Amino acid sequence: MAAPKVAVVGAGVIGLSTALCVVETCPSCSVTVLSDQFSPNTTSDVAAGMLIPHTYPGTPIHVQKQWFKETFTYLFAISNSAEASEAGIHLVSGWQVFKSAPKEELPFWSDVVLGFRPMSEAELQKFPQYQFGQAFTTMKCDCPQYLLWLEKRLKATGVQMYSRKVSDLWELHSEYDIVVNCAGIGAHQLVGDKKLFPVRGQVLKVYAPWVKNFIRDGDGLTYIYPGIHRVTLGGTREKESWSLSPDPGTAKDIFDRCCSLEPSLQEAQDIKVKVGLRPSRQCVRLQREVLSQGELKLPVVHNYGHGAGGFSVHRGTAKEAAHLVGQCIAALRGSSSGAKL
Amino acid sequence: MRVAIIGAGVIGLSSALCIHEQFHGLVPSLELELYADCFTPHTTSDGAAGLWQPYLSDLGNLQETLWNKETFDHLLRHLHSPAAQEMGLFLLSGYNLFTEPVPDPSWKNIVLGFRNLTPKELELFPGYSYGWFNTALMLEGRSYLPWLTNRLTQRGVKFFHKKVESFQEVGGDGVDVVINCTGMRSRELQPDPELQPGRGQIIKVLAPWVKHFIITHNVKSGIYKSPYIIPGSEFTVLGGIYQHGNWSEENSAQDHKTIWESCCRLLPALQKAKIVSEWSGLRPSRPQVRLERESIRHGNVQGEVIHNYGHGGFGITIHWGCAMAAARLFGSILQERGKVASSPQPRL
Repeated sequence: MAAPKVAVVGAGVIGLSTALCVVETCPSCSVTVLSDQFSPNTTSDVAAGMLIPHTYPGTPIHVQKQWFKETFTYLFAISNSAEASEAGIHLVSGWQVFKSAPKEELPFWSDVVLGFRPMSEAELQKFPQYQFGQAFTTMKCDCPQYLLWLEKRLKATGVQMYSRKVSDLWELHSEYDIVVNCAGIGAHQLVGDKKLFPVRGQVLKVYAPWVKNFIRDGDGLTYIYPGIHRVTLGGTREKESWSLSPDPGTAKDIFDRCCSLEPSLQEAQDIKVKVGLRPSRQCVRLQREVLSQGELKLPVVHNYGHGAGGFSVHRGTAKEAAHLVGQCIAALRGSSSGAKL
Repeated sequence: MRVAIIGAGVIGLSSALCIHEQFHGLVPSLELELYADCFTPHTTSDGAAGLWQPYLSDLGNLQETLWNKETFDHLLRHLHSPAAQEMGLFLLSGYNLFTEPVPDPSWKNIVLGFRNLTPKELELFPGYSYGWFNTALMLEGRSYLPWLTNRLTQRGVKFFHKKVESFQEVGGDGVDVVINCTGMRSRELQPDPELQPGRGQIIKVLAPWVKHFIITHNVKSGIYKSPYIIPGSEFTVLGGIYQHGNWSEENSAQDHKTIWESCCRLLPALQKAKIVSEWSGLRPSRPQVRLERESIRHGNVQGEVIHNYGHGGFGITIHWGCAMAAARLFGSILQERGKVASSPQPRL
C-alpha cells in the first residue's frame, strides 16, 4: 500500500485536531477531512472552549487526566508563542464558586491548571450567595479562531477538506483505506450509536470587554467565560433535547443568573444567542473497529462522544486516535491478502 | 463660602467630589469652582492605564499605604454598583515578575488573592524566576474622569477652562479656600524642588486576548523602567519608561523601540497586535505626596491653600484616600472659622 488514504469525518475541534495528529504521526498518509459543517457552524463554535474538564463516568480518571494534561501542555506552548492570538488561545484566570461544599476538594485536574487554590474570605465576599470557592488560571480556545487556525495548518500540510454529508461510512470505502469517525453528535445517525445522546446547551455571546476573569458556579450550569471579543454566558444542560432553536425564556434566565454572579453584565451589549448539542456519552468512544460487509473490510477509528469536555481533552484524544490509525495501517500492511479492502 | 479647586485630573476631581459630598449639607453656602487648563481626555490621569497598584515599597510611609488601602476598599465597594461600568471600574488579575526573590509588598493584604507564582507559571516568563499573582482593580481614566465630572456638574460645581497663574488669582475675590491639585505644574504656582517629572511613554495596542496585567520589575533600575502590559476595556497599554527629570512630552522613537521590543519579548503574541496610539506624560513625582494646609497672604487677607499633589505614578491608586484627607483638612478649616460646630462625620 502506498500512501494510506485516511478520511476524517467531522470538522469540529475533534475532527480537525485528529486530522492534524494523523498528519503529524504519519507524514506519508494522505488525509482528507469530510464534513457537512465547518467553522463557524460546528458544535465547537458554540462552546466557550474553556479548559475545565468534564468527568466521564465510564473512563478511568488517570486516562482523563492524561488527555487533559496533554491538551493543556500543547495549548500552553501555543499561548506562549507568537501564534497565540491567531490560534485564539489565551490564558484566563477566575473563580469556581459553590453554594455548598463541593464533592471533591481537589478535582483530578487541579494540579494541571495553574495556581489552583481555595479562594480567600475576601475573594468570597464578592459572591455573597456562595460559601466556597476555588481560584485558578486556565486557558480558553476561542472559536472560530482556533478551528480556522487548525484548518490553516492542515491545508499547509496538503490536507484537503470537503463539504460533504457522509450518511454511511461504507460510502467512503472505495476512496479511502481508513476512516476516522469524529462526527460528534452526528455519530448517532452515522453509526447508529444509541449510547450517544445530545445534551442541549444554550449560551449567550455578549460584548462586555471589561470582564477579564471567568466565574463558574460549581454546579456547571451558570458560567461567565471571557473570550477574545465576546463573553460567553451560560448555560443549560438539557438531556435528550435535539432542538437547535434558541429559546427566549431560557436566554433571559441565563442572563439573569449571570448578572447575579457579575452585576456589571447588565451593561453588556449586542447579545447573541447560540445553541449546541453536546455529543454526550458515558465515556468517549475512542477505539478501533473493522467494519465488514461480506469480503469487504473497512478499518474505522472512532473518536467521538466528548460531551461537555471536548476542548479540554481534544489533543489528548486526537493523539490516541492517531495512534490507533497507526495500528490500522500496520494491520493493513501486515495482512498479505489484505489488499485493498 | 467659595472654594476653588485647581486641577481637573483624578486628584482635583475626586477632591472636589469628596469635599462637596461631605460638607454641602453642613455649609449651605458652599460653592465649589474648579479651574483647570486641561480637562479629560487631555490630563495626565487620562494617560495612565488605570491599574490600582502602589510601588513595591512604601519606604516606611504608612500614611500613603493607608490612603492606598482606603482607595482600594472604596472602589471595591463600588464594584457591584450599577455605576461600575460607567466609572470604568473592573477587577483585573495579573502577574508581577522579578529576577530574584523580593519581600512581599505593603499592599499584599489589600489586593485579593495575593500569592507567589508557581514554577509552572514562571515558565510563561523566561528570564524571571520569582513573582506574585493577585487580583486588583482597574479604574480607567477615560471613563472615571468623565464620571466624576458628571457627578460634580450634577452637584452644581462650576468648571472654568483657564490657566491659573497664581493662588492669588483665584484666592482673592471672596474665595476662602484653594485646593491645589495641579500635579506636575504645581511648581508654576509655588516653587517645589522636590517635585520632579517622572517621564513615561506608553503604546496603546489592540490585543483583546490579553486578560492579565503583567508587570516586570528591575529592582536595581527602579519602578516602571521594566516592561509592563496592562489590558484595559478596549486597548492594552504597553509601557516601561520612567525618566526622572525629563520634561519632554514628545514621544521618543528610542523609547518606542524599548517598549515595543521588551513587551514583545515578554508576550510574543503582541507582535501581531495593532498599534493604535502612543503618548508621553509626566508623572508628578515627589519623595512623598504633599498633602497639607498652608496659609497664604494676599494683600491683607489670609487665605488657606490645601495642597494635594505629587502622586507620582500612583495617583489613581491613592486618589480617594488623599481626597478624604483633603476633606478632613477642609473640615478643620471650617471648624476654625466657626462654620461648623464640631468635627463633621465623614459621609461615605
